[in-house]
Amino acid sequence: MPGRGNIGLVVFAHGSRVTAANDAVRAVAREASLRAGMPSYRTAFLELSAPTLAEAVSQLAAEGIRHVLVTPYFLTMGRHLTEDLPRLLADVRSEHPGLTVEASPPLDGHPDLAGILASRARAMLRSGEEPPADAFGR
Amino acid sequence: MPTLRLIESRALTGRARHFSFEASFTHEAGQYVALSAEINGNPTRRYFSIASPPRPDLRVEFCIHPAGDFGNYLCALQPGDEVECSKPAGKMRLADPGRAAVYFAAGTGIAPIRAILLAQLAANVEADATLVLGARTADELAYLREFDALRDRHPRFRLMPTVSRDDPGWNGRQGRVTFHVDEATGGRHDLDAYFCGPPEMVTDLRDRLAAAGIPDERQCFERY
Repeated sequence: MPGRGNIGLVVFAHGSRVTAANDAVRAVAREASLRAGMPSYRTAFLELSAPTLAEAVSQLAAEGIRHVLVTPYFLTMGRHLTEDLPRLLADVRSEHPGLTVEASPPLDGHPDLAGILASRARAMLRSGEEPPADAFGR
Repeated sequence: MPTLRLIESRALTGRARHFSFEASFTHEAGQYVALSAEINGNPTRRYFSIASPPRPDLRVEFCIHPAGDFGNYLCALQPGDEVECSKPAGKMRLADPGRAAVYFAAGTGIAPIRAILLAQLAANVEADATLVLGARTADELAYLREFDALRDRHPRFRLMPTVSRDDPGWNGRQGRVTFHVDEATGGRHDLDAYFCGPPEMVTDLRDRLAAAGIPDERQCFERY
């Protein structure tokens, strides 16, 4: 088990052509890393933004990190997590044999998710606003 | 004597408080002022480093551990209240924004360090700067989120937070800031070093930096 100071976090997201969307992921990653007491962290993207997972892990390794925790910023266990992420993890493990690299499940299944949806729903009532008719994509 | 008018104050960490005042004077990053008030009928002065670089709107910020009667007085201030204030003074200055720099701060010693670091990054987006930010526990690391966000705009800025007490919720560097001199300097001798903290920290850093090849004339520091 590496020392606690050798732990790094990578928040792994899909990436978007919309800069603001990638910045929003970075903001969540910053808050998550600090709440986790893991100041050595990177936000990494599958595509459309930088850095890649491999680049992020290399940057952490260069800082002396020996144990990398990857938390996917994906909702469900779709193809990106069943196919792309395992392939990327295999690549980084091969490139950094001295590193321990682990990945957590996606957000789906976390007990707080239902609470977040409930909070969003209640907030609409509190604001006194009816959801617009096109809010559901009809 | 100049006065400061309080704009806002807020809790910064478990111990420190951030104050923002409207000033009527200009200052240089790294300087301090004396704040004066009558406490329990006695004229009282306390010295505080300004935690912000010069701003066009003359706003000045402080990072203060509000201890004792003077601390209670500051905490009780309401927006719009005025405090007597000396002219800025002090010898800490940003030597050259173009030179690589390493910064060390512990506790509220971050005040002048934040001012100089922000001045360097404002003058040089590509500044090669490292900050070793220390506190006893993780929740006492002042301005941690702000410093972390600087990494987005300043690719050569490196943040090294460290906590000195055993904190089970912390997975970063451990130990006092002085323990991390070698990692922060990386064997380079061409760095300017800025540091502020308790006297023993400053003394220890001076020795360790000299041993790491950073000569006295490249060291700029203040004790509190």
